[in-house]
Amino acid sequence: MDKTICEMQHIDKIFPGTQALNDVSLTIRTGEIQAVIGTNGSGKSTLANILAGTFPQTEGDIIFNGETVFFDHPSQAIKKGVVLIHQELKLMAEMTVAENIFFGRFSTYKNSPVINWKEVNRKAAEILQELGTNIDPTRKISKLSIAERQLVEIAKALSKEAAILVMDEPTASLTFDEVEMLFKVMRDLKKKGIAVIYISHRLEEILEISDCITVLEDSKLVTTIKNTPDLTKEDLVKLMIPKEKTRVTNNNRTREIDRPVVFSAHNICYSNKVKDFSFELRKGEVLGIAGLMGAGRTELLKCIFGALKIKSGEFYINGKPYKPNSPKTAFENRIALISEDRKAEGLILSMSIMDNMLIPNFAKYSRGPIIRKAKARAEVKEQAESLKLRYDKLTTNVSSLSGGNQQKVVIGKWLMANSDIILMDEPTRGIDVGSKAEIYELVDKLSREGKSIIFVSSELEEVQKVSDRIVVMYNGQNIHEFKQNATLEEMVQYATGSRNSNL
Amino acid sequence: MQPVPETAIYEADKKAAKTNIQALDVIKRGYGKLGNLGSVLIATILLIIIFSILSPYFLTLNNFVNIFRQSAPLAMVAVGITIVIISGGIDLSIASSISLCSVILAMLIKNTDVPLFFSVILVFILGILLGLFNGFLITLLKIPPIIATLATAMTFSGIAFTITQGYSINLPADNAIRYLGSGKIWLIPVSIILVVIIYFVIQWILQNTGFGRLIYGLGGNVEAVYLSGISVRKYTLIIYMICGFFAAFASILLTARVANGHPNNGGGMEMDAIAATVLGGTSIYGGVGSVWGALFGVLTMTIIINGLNLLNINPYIQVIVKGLVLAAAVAVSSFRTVKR
Repeated sequence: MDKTICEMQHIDKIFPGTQALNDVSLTIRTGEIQAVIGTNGSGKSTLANILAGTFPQTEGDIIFNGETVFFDHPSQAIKKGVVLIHQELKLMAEMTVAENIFFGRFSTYKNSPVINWKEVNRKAAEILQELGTNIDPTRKISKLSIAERQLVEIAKALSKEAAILVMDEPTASLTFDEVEMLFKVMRDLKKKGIAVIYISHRLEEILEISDCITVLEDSKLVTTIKNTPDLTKEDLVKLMIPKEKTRVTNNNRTREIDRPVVFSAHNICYSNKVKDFSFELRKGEVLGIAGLMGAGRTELLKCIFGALKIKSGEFYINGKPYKPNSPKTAFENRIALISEDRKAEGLILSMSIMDNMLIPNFAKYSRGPIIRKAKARAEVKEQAESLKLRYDKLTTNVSSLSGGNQQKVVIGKWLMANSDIILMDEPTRGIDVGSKAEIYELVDKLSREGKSIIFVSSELEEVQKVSDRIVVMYNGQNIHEFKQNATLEEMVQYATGSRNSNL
Repeated sequence: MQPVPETAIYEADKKAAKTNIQALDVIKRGYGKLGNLGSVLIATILLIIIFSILSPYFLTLNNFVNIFRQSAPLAMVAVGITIVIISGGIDLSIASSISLCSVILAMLIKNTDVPLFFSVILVFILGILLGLFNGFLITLLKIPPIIATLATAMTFSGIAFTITQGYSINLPADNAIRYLGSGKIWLIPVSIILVVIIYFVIQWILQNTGFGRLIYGLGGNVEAVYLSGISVRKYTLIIYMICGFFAAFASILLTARVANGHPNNGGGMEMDAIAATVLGGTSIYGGVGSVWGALFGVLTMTIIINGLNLLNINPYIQVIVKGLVLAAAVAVSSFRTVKR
C-alpha cells in the first residue's frame, strides 16, 4: 500500500530575527495528496522551500527512502525528484511550451549539439497528452491562460521524473472550471504514484482533493489529520487558530462613530481585481482591510492613490469628489501610500535617510529652488526622533537600515508631507517582532493625532489588533463589514471565502 | 630563563592586531570617503607619474594648460551626460547634437548679420530643443532612452550633413568667437574658467536643490519617486533639455577651437563622454555619481591621448590604450563595490 518516500524530521528554520519553522515534521507518502494549511506567516512556504532545496533548514533531518540528505540547492532536490511549482509561475513567456518543458535538456541529433526540434515537440506533446490536455507544444507561453501555464509547469516537473510535486497555492488565480481541470490532473498524478504537497488557503478545495491535511500555526506543527467525509471547514479553521487566540482581543481603542467621514469609496471597480467595493473612513479612525494575498487589496489602495486607474466608481474626500489621475493628485489631496514592497516602491535605497524623507517635500523645505538644509535637517531629525528611528547619521543610506527602520523612513516621509489619509499596505511585512509592535503603536498614535488610516494586512491577527473597524475583502469584494468586534475565527472564515454575509 | 606568561603574548598579539586593524581602517575610511572617485583619482595620478617619467615635455605648465584646454568641450558634454546617467537614462545623440549646433553656429556667424551674442543664444536654444525632442520621445512615446537617442543621433547627424552637403564652413580667423577657444584671462584659458564655473555650479545644484536630489532619486528608484507623488515625466524632460544645453555649450567651445562648422565635429564624443562619466564612478544604472568624477574621467582620457602623442605613439594605438584603461578602471571600482 502507501509507502513513505520522504520524511522531514524536527525541522527548524531560523531567519535573521524570526523563527520561521519550529520543530515541524512531515511524512510524505507516494500516491498521496497532502495539503498544508495555516494562516499567513505560519511557515507553509518555508517548509515547501526547504523540501525543494531553495534554502537549507537550520536544524532537523530530511530522510529520503531511508537515506539522510541535505539540500542547499534546488538542483539537489530535483535529482531526488522533488519539484516545486511556485505561486508565481517561473516560465519564459516568449518561448514555446516545449522549450519551457525541456529547457536545458533538449534532445539533439546524434553526436551533435544541434537541437532536434521535431523530437522535442513530440516528447512535449506526449507528456501534455498524459496530463489530458492538448496544448500545442509550439505555442508561446504568453498566449496561454494561467491554468494552461500551470499545466506546462506540471508537465515540466513530470519530464524531470518528479516523485514529489510541491504546489504553492496553485489555484490562487484560477477560475472554478480551471480548478476542476487541475484537480483531475492531480488525481491522475496520484494514480501514477506521485506524492503531491498542496499548499492552499482555500479550505473547500482542500477538503475536496486532499488525502491528509497538515496544519501549521505560528511556525509550529499543530497536527496532521486524515481527510474524512465528516471533516468540515469549521473544523479546519479551529485547528488553524489556537484556542487562546479565538477570543476577541480588546485593543483599548474606542469606536468613534460620531466623527466626520473624511473619505468614502463607492462601487469601485478595477479590472477583475476589485469588484464594486464601497467603504467609508472617518477622521482619526483605523480601518482594517483584512484579506488574503490576491484578494485585490493592493489594487484597491493603488486605485485610491491614483497609481492605477479605476474602471468605474467614485471617491469623495470630505464630501467633495476626488478623481485621482496619478500619485500627484493623491499627494495634493494629502493621501499617502505606504507600499507593500518598500524596497521596490517606497524607498530609494541608494540615497540617505534625509533624502528619502525629503523626496516628496522638497518644495516645502526650499527657498526658490534651493534646499534650506538647516531647516530640513532639523525637521527630519525631529520626525526621526518621534518615530523612534534608530540611525547613525541622517546621511546614512537607507539600505543599511533594518526592515522596521526602513518602514519608519517611509512613514516619516509622508508625515512630513502632512498627509491626512494614510494607506498602509502590509506595513509589517518582513519586519521583526519588536519593530512590528512599534509600528502598531505608531498607527495608534497617528490616529489619535487625527490621521485616518487604512490598514491592510493578510495577518488577520494584526488587523484585529490595530483596527477600529474591519472590512474583509475576498476575491475583490467587500464581503463583510464587522459591526462589532471580530473574532479571528470569523475573520478567517470570511477571508477564505467559507462564509459570506452578502449572499 | 623566565618564561613569558602566555597571557602576555596573547595581550601583545591582540594589541598589535588592533593597531593593524586601526591602520587598515584609516586607509579604508580615507579611500571610502573618496567614494567612487577613488579609482579615477588613482588612474589620473598613475598616468601623470608614468608620462612624467617617459617624457620630459609632459610635466610642464604649458602642456597642462594644453591638456585642460583640449578637455574643455568633452568636459561640457560629460556634465550633461553625467546628469542623464545619474537619473537612470542615457543619451547617445549628444555627438550629433554637437555637430548640428556647430554647423548652425558657423552658418549664423558666416552667412547672417545676427550679432555673435545672439547667435550663441540661438545655438543654446537649439541645443535645448534637441534635448526636449529626446525627452519627448522618451516620456510621451515611451521609447527606451538608448533607442530614442540612437534614433535622434542618426536624425540630427543627417540634418547636419544635409544642410552643409558635407562641406565644412570655415570661420574667418579674426572672428570674436575664437576668443572662447584661445583667449586667456591672465594666463588661464577662458574655456577652462568656464568649465570650472560650470562644474562648481552643477555639483552645487545636485547637492543643494530639490531638483538635484530628484535626479539621484529617479536613477535610484523611479517607481518610488513616482509613488511619492512627483511628476517623473516633467523632470525627465528637463534632464534631457539640460543635456541638450550642454551639447550646445560643448559645440560652441569646439567650434571656437577648430574655427569651423563641420557635420563631423564632435564625432565619437558621446562614447568618450559616457566613458569619462563611468570612469568617474557614476553608476551606469543610475542613482550614484558626481560631476567631479566625470571631470577626472575627462582628464584621464585627455592625458592618455596627450601623453601618447608626446611619446610619438601611433594614434590608432592610443585608442586601444584608452579602451583598456577604461575597462581596468571600471573593473577596479566594481570589484570594490562587490566586496563591500
